[in-house]
Amino acid sequence: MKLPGSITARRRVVRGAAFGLLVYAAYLIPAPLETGLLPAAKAPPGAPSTTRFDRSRILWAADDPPRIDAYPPAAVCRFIPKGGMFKACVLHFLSENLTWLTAVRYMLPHLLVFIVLAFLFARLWCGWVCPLGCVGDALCWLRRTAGLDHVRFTKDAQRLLKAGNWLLLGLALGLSLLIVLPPLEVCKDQLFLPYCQICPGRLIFPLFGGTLPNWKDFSTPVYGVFTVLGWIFLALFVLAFVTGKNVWCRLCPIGTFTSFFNRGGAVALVKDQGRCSSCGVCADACPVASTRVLEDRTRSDVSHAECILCLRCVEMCPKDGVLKATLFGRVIAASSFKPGLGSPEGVTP
Amino acid sequence: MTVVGADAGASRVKLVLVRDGEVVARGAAPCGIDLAGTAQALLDGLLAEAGVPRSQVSAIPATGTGAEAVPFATARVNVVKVMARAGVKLVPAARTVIDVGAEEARAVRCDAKGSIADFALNDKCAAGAGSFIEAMSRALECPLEEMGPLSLKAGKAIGLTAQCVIFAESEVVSLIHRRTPPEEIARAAYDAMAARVSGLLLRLGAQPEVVVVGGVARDPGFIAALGRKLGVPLTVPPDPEFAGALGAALCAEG
Amino acid sequence: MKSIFETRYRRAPVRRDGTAAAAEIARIGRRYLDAMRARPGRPAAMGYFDEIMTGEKRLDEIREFRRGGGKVIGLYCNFVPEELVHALGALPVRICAGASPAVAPAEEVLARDVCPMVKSSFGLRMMGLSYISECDLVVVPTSCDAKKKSSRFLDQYVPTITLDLPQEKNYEKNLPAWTREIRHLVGRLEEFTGRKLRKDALASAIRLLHRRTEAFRKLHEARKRNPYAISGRDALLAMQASFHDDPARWTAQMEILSAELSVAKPTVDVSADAETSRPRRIVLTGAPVIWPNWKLLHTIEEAGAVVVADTLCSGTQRLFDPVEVDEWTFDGMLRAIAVRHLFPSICPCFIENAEHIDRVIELADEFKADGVVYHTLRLCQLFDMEYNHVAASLRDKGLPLLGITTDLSLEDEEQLKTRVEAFLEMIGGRG
Repeated sequence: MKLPGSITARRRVVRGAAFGLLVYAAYLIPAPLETGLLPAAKAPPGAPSTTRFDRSRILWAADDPPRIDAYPPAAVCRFIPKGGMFKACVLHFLSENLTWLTAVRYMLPHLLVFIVLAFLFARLWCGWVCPLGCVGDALCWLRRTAGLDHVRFTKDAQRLLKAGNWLLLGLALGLSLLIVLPPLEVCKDQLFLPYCQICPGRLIFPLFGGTLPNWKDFSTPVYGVFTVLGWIFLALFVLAFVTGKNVWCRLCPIGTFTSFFNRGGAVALVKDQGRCSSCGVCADACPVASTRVLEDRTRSDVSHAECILCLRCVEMCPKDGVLKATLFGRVIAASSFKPGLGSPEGVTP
Repeated sequence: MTVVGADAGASRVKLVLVRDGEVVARGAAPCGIDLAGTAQALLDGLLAEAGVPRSQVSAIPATGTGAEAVPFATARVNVVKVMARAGVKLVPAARTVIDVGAEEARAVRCDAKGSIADFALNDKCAAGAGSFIEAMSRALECPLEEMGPLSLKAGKAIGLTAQCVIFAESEVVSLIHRRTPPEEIARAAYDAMAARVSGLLLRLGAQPEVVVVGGVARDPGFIAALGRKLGVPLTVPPDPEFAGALGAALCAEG
Repeated sequence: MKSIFETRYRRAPVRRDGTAAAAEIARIGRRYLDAMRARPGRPAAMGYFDEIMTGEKRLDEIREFRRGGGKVIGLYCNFVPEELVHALGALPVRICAGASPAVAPAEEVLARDVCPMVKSSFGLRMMGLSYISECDLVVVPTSCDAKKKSSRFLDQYVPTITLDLPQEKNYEKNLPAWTREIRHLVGRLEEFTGRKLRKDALASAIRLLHRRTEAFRKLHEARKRNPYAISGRDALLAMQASFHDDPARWTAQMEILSAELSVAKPTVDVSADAETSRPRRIVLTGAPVIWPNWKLLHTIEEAGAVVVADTLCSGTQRLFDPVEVDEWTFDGMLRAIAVRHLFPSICPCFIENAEHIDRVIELADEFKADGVVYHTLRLCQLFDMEYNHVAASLRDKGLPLLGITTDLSLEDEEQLKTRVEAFLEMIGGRG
């Protein structure tokens, strides 16, 4: 039973609304919004571009342009049908422009927009907006309804995931840069946007627009490999959310960019060290299996990169005012002892 | 204001008659089995000697382990509190007061007004108190008042290994059999006792001036040993045995 | 149920007559209770807790429960989850004891130099007295040497099983093993009660004890009041009633007490020289203080101070932290229970126990305390060894501290009085 007004309940509402807005923007806003401030980068002649792929290719994206040509810090996707609210995720942006070797003056405004948004809200984007996370949440709900326990990842497994994350990121960006050079340029179309090709978003979002994704493309060996990798990553995505709460978010390369702003950004997770009882509830509740809030016993700012700022720890902490989330130093959420049923039943991120 | 301060210790009961903050008369007697009777007799004798009728005495605060048994006591005062008050009254520069009685040793650090800053007590083991020397004097067959001067004649220091009064007595007997000079044994006993008492000051710290009161403070052997152990000069006010009673009287005056 | 101990060298249990001891225990309790009742402004709601702690009513109820086939499961410490016992339809009772007359019989079977609390508890069983003698099963967490070793001999009197407590509170390192141990305990309890632990029963039990914590927290808040609303002797008596009282009824009565405290007038006359004459506010920390061993509390409060807060496992630490469940699946509930019964503990049996100092400082601050009393039970090496460390840390924070080492005997009351009075004198109040 959900207690009205609980942090998680509010977060679900916000994320659900964000999902609706981000995915179905084209149904709500008839035409793209021209701000005139954000220059659209164009593909150099001969360079691959998603608009040039036909429907049968893996990288065929939406027919419609997005409503706003910007790249916010969440898994908004190029593959949202009928265009979404925003263009794509920041990884797509970097990947595409590294391949095109776009001039900095075109990239800078977009990067600035990203940085400002990430600075302001850090991984609140992950916990409160990300549409991919919203889908994952639904998968999580299946497990909880079945009454099954979740898998908790050990610190060693977490380190492995993090390493995998960096590897993935490195490969994706490295490949993007290298495909215009021989010998890769021969199949530059096929190696374009390497992470997009394997990202579960490519396969998931079209479904929400009533379109089937290009789940199978064996026209060339390279596309074939990416097809299979795409299946594997989708399976990992589903498995991760079904068994392990938000462990996927440790692996997500898109979140990595936002995570840089968790410490030093406008948002902070604050702990009153003197009053914390070290009761461990925050560690038990954390959907990314982080124990940082519990184990950091010296600093008052316990923000850390892995945290998706879902604020479940703040919600669950049974002592008034020991854990707080702040925005520019002002408290936006604070822990409190919850009389009543104990804690909102069945409410998990 | 005329006040009588009473200190009913483990071995003796002490009374002082204080008028307007000055000691006018004092008296002490062994408690015996009838502390109440002894105290009453002592009080009657003291008042007679000073020519002060009982009605003129406005208060009789009592301290010490037997305070509850003093029949004429008008109030009970904490023994650490009285130590500090008496200490600065007797020696205005006193900042550490050590009180060694028959069965207990106490140390208190205080400020110029006699307020307690910190304190340490040893009321569980008699090896750091007067009854230890009494036991040693029995073993050496030396009168108690001669133990101190005897120990001062010792040429060298030997150690007593026994931690407990009972075992120390038998250790002393074996030392005697080994023909150890009695002055060395006496000094060893005082050294052992001083070691115990100085243990109280380990955490407390001995802030000058260090004043020693209580019955045992009259013993030059103990004072010498304690001075050696602590390494600081010690001040022993006159009539140190009456410090407790004086302190109690001072507490009546607020 | 098969014993966890070997059959070799089994001995018949030594029993002793408890009539004289029972009378003496009652006399000791009555003396302290009389002093508590003599205090003006004592909440009327304390009458219920007095009855539970000193009367026969609760023992009679428990005997009736057993006659009806109910099982009573004794436990030490705050490490054995009472939720599990409730969920299996049994009754948990905390068997920690503070009865001085029960110590001597226990020394015949155990040893002399053993924790007084463990001796007292054991002695009560030898004499067939108190709640420990109404247990059908006892669960002993291996928190400290004394109680874990005593479990081997307690098994001669009542089936005893152990709960293997980790030595440290590291989330990654110790929680998995501890959770497994809890599950193992579930299995043993199921075997003993002949029932299966069901998800809905477990959820109900968690909620039942969560409500108990909610009620307690109101008392906790009321103790912050300055001038004080309830004495430490009363508050701890009420808290300790939860050792064996029916949780729902205890909760209801605690709510009544808290309600009375919230409208109570100040118990002390707040006058011009309030600062010097007001009762000094004390935080009590250290080894458990179990009824009727109210000696230290009695001495402190009769000397004019009031114990406004405590970190005792027999007091605040027992009731303050709730089980907070993240996911109400069966495994989620068990894990939440495991987390609650390990991490918030400030028992010195854990090698690192910095949280002990945290709690004292926090309470001293929140309750506007004037000083701290650190209580060590003689022969408890763990609390004894922590003393210097805690004392130094508190001194750094400018908190006056009095260390008291004592046992259950009543011989040292005068010496306690001397120390407590001198300490109160030192921290500025007229003792």
